[in-house]
Amino acid sequence: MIDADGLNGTGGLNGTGGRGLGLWQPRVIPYVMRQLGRALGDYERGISFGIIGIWAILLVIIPLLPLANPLHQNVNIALQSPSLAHLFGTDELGRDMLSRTIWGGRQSVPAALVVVCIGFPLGTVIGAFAGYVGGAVEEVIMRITDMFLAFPVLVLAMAVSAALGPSLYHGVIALTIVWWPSYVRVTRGMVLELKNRDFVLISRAAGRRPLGILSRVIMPNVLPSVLVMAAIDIGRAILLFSMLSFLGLGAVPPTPEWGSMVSEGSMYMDQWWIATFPGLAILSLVFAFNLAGDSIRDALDPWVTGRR
Amino acid sequence: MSRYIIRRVLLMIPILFGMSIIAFVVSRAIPVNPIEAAIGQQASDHPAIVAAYTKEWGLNKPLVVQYLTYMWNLLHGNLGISIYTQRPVLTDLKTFMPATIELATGAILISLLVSVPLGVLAAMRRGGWIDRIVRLVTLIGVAMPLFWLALLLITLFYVHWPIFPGPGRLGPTTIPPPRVTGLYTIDSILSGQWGTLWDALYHLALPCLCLSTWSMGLLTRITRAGMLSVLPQGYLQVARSKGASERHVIWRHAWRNATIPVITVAGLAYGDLLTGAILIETIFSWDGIGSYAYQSSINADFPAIMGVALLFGVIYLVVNLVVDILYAFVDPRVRSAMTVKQQ
Amino acid sequence: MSEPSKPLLQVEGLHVTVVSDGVTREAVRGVSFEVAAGEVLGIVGESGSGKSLTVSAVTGLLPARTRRTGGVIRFKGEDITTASRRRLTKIRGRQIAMVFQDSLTSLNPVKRIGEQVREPLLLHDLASGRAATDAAEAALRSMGIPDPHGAARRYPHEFSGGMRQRAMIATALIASPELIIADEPTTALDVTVQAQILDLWRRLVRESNLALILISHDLGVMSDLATTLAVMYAGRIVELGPTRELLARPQHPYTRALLGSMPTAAASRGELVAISGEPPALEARPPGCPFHPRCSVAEDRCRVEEPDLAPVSSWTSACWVAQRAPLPRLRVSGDGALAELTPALERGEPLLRVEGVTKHYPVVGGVPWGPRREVHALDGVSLEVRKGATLGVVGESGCGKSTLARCILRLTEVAAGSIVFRGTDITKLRGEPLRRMRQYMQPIFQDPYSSLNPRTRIGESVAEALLVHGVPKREAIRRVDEVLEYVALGSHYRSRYPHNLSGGERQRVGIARALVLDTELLVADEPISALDVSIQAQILNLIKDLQRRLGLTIIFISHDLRIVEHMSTRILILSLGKVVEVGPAHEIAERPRHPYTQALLSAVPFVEASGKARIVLAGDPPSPIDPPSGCRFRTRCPRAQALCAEVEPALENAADRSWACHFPIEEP
Repeated sequence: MIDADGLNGTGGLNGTGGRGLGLWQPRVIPYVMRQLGRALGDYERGISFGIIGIWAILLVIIPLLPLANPLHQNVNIALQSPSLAHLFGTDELGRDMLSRTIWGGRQSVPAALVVVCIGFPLGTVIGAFAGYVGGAVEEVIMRITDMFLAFPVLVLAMAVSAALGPSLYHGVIALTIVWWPSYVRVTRGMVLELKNRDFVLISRAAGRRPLGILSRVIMPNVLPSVLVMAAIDIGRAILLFSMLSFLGLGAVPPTPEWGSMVSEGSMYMDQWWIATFPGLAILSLVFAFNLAGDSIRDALDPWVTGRR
Repeated sequence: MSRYIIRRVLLMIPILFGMSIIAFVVSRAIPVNPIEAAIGQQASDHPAIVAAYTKEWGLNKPLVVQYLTYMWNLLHGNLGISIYTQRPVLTDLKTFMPATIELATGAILISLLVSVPLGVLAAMRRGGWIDRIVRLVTLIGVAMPLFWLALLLITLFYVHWPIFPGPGRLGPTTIPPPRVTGLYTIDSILSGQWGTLWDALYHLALPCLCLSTWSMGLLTRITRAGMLSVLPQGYLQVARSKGASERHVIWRHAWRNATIPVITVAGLAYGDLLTGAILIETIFSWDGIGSYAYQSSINADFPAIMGVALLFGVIYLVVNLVVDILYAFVDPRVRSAMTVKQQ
Repeated sequence: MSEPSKPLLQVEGLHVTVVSDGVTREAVRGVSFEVAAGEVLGIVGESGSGKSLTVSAVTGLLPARTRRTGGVIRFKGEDITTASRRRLTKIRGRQIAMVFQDSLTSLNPVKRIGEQVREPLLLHDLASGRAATDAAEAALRSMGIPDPHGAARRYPHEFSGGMRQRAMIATALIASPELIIADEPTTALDVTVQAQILDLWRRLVRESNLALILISHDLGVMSDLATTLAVMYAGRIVELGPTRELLARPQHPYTRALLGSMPTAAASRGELVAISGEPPALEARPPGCPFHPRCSVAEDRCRVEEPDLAPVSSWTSACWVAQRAPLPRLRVSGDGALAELTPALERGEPLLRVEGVTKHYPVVGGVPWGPRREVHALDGVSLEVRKGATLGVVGESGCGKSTLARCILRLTEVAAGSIVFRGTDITKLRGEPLRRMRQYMQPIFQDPYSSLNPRTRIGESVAEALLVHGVPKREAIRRVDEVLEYVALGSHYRSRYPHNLSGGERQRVGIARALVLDTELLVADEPISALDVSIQAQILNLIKDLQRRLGLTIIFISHDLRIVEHMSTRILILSLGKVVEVGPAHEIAERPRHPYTQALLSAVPFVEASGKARIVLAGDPPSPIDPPSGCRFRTRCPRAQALCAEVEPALENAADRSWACHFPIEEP
C-alpha cells in the first residue's frame, strides 16, 4: 500500500528509484504525515489499550518495583535535571520524580474509577427504567436529572472541599453525586428509540416479560454505546481530579498526585521536569481512554445498526 | 415559533427550582456546622451575629420554612455575605462576572472560528491524512489538562519567547476604561479608548487561546461528524443535478445543515468552559469568577462558593435556552415539532 | 406517431466500476441505449442490476468510489464522456434534469420549497430575484399544488409525500430541460397519490417534447408510461424493445419470470411464479449468463458463455435460448385450492372477532394550555376472521392498519372495543393468561432489517418464544431446526448473525420464528413491501404453502391491493381508522361498492390493460389528526354530496359484504 510515486520514484537519483533524500525534500513532510495518519488508523485500538494496560500494571504493582521512595526527601539533590540516577529528575525537596510520577497515579485513577463505576451502573439503570416505563415517572426522573446536570461539577466539588476541608475523599463524594445524571439522559434516549423497534415488539409478542425485554433485548443494544461513553468518562474524571488537586482541594501534599505536582512545579518554571512529567502522565492516560472509546465505537457499528 | 420559546422557558422553571433545592440541601447538609460555614469561624463566636443570621435565614424554623426563606432571599438577590470580602455575594459576583464572560466568550469564538473550517475539511477528505491528523490533534486537545497546557504556554510564549504579556487583564500602566458592561473590550470601544482596547485584547489572547483548546477539540469533532452525516444526504446530489458546482453544494447546502448540531454542543461546552475558566483565571491572575471561586474555596468561604455554583448553573441554563432558540431558528423542523406519543 | 428523430442521448458500451473493501468490481458492464425527444425509455431492474449507476454515469454524478471505466456518452451529438466538470455542471439542471426517489431526503430540510424550486434558474443565470420566485410559483401551480405562493414559503417537512414529489418535478422542469431522468418516481407514495403522479407524468410527456428516462422496479408503472423498455440484470441490459410488445411476449426468461411473479387479474388465483434464489451480488456473479442459476430453461451454453443482445422477434434480447426460437408464454398453474376452501371456510366459527375497536394517540408538543390533539388511528373498527381463512387489510398511510395489527397482537392497549380470540376477550387479559395467549398469535413485520435483534444469533432469535414459554433447550433446538426447514433455510443458519443475511433470508427467519409455537393466527404487516420483486413472490408462495400445511389463519396487511387479492379470501378496506368496505376477495376486486375501493383498484397500473375506467382521486389523504366530518373519504370522493359532510355513513350489509357509503356504486 505504499504510495508508489512518492518513494520508488521516477526520477530518483539512482534512476531505479533510490531513496536519496535530497530530491524528495518537499515531499518528505506530507509523506511522514501520511504515514503517521495511516499508523494511527490501523493501530488505534492497540495503542490505546496498550497505554491503558501499561499504566494499569504499573499502578498495581508499583509497590513491588525497585523505585525510590516517593516521599523520601533529600535536599542535597534537589532540583536536579533528569539523569541516569534519576530518570525524571528530582523536585524541590529532592524527591525522585520518576517514582513520584508513577505513584501519583494512585490517587486520581482509582478515584476516577470509583466515580465512574458507581455513576455508570446507577445512571444506566435509572435511565433505562425511565425510558422504558415512560409517563409521569419518566418526566420526574428527567427533570431531576436536568437539575443535577445544570450544576457545574468542579464548583460543587470545590464547595464540598470548602465545607469539609480538602481531601480526595471529599472530591470523590462530590463527583459521584453529580456524575450519574449524564448516563440517565443518554440511556433513556437510547431506550426510547429502541423500545418501538420491530424486534422489541416481536419479543413482546413472543411473550417475554417486561423485565426480560428490558434486560435481555433492549439493554444489550444500549450497553455498548454507553460503555464507550464510560471509557471516555474515566478520562474526564481523571482530568477533574487532577484539576481539584492542582487547586489544592484534592489530594494533599506530600502525597504525590499529578495535579498538585504540576502546581508545585509551576513555581519552578526553569526546572521544567517537575511539572512536565506529571502533566504528560495525565495526557497519556486520558488520551488513551478517549482513543479506546472511539475505536470501540467504530468497531461496534454493524452490531448497532444491524447493517453492514 | 413563539409557542416553542414559551415551552422552553416553562421547562426551565422547574429546573431552576430544583437547582435551588439542591443548593439549599448542600448548604445545610454538607458542612459540619452550617452556621459556621456561612459566617466564618470568628463571627460564630459572637452570639449576636449568630442570632441575626439565624433570624435572616430562618434557621430555627422547620425545614420547609427554611427553604422558603432561602428561596425568598434568593429571589431578592440575597445570596449571603462573603466571609472573605464581607460584601454581599451578589455584589461580588456582579463585579467579577464580566471578566469571565469576556474570557469564555472569547474562547468559544476562537474555537468556532477554528473548529468549523477544520471539521469541514476533515470530513471532506475523510480517511485522508488531514483527517487523521485532525483526529489525532483533537483527541490530544480534549485529553490535555488545561492547567498544564497553560503553564506550558506561559513558559514558552512569555518566559522564553516574550510574545504574550504577563498575567492580568491589562498591563501595569493601563487604566481600565469607564465601566459600562465590565467587559474591558466593549467598554474601551464604547469610550473610544483604542489603546486600552488593544491592551485588553493583547492580554486576552493567551488565556482565551488556552481555554479554547478543549472546546476546539470537541467542536472540531462534532463539526466533522455533522458534516459526515450530511454529506451522503440526498439533497446534495439533487443540488448537483441542478447544476450546482461542488463549492456551491458544500457551502450553500451541506455546511448549514452540518453545523446545526454544533450549535447545541457549543452551548453544552459553555458550561465546561466556565469550569475551565476557574483554572485559567487562577493561573493568569484574571479577576473573574474563577479566581473568586478559587479564593473562596481556599478560604473556606462557603456562601461565596455556593453563590458561584448557582451562578454557573443559571448561566448554563440561560445559554442552553439561547442555543435552543437559535436551533429553532436554523432548523424549521424543530419549530413545529409535534410528536405522536407511542404507547 | 412522430418521425424517427435523431437521438437526444446515446450511450454506447458503458462500464462502471465500484471499489469496495479494496476490490474493484464492475457494476455496469457494457450498457448501450438511445433516447430521442418525445420518447420514454423505461429501465427496469432489481437491486444489483446497475440501473441507478447507469443513469448516474450519464450526468457524471457517480457516488464516491465509483468510476466510469468505459463507453461513450453523447448528448445532442456532443461527446460528453470526458467532459470537464464545468461543462457537465452547465448541462445538469438546464438540459438534463433529474428527479430523485425519496422526496424527504431529496429536499433540504432547512430551506424553503420556493428557494429550492427556483435554484436551477439561479444556477444557470436564467432569472434572478423576483422573477425567479415568480417562475417557481408558476411551476408549482402547473404541477397542481394549491396555493403556490404559500406553498413556496413552506418547508419540506410541512408537505405531504405527493406534494413533495410534485415540487421535485417542478424543480426539474423549471429550466425547460430536454431530457429528464426520473429514478423511481412513484415509489414510497400512497397508491392513490401514485396514480396522480403517474397522471402528471403522462400529461407532461404528451404535452411537451421531453425525452424521459424512467427507472423503476415496477413493471406496471413502465407499462403505463414507457415507450421503450430496457430490462437490466447483473449490470447488463438483457432485453430491449417496445414496451407493449415486449411485455406481451417477453423474450428473456428473466423478464418472463418477473411478469409471472406479479399478481395480475388473470393469475390471481394461482401460484405466483417465484424465481428461486436472489439477484447476484456484485462479488458473486455466476459465470456465463448471470441469470442461469435461476433460469428455468438454462442450457449448457448458458453456464459458460454470456450472451449479447441480439435480435429476437422485432427487438433484442440477450438469451441463447430465445435467440434460437421465440420463448413461449409462461403457463400459470391455476391452483384452485384457495377458491375451493372459501365456501367451506365461511361456515366455520370465527377465530378472531374484533368489535368496535377505537384507538387514539395523543399528540404532544403544544403548550400546556393549548387544545389537546389526537391522532384518530382507529374509530370503531369491527371485523371477523374464520379459522383457516386469510383476511386482507388494505389501506393507505394513516388508515390505521398498523395500529390495528398492534391492537390485535395486544402490543398496545385499545381505548374501546373488544377483541375475542379463541373465545376469550383478550383486551381484558393481563399477566400470565396474556402471555399464554401469545403462543397462538404471532406477528410478521415489514422491515427485515429491524425485525431481528442485531446482537442475537438467528438460532436464539427464532427460539425466543420457545424459551420464554419454558420449553427445554434441547427440544427448542430441534424445533428451531424444524421451522428453519419449513422456510427453506438450513439449520446452519442458527449460528449466524442478522447482518450477514440478505433481506429475503431475514424475512424467512421472521416467518420461522412466528411459527415456532402452536401459532394459529399470523398477523403479517406488509411482509413483503421491503423486498425485491423477484423475492416477493417466493415469500408469498411460502406463506400460502405454510398456510395450507399448518392450517394457519392469516391477517395480511398491505397497501397493495393486487397482492392482497391474491393472498386473501376476504378483503377489508380501511381508511382513516374506519372500515370502508369488506367482503369476499374476488367480489371486492370485481364489483366494488365503495368509491374508495374503486379508486384503489384503478390506481394500480396493471401490466395487462384491465379495460376498467381509471379513477384518479384529487388531493392528498387527509391527516388522521383532524379527520373530515361526516364521511372521512368525502374530500377526495368523486361522488360526494352535501349529505356526506353531515352524516357519517354506517356499514350496510348484504349477504357476506358490507360497505359504508351513502351513494355506493350500483350493482352492474
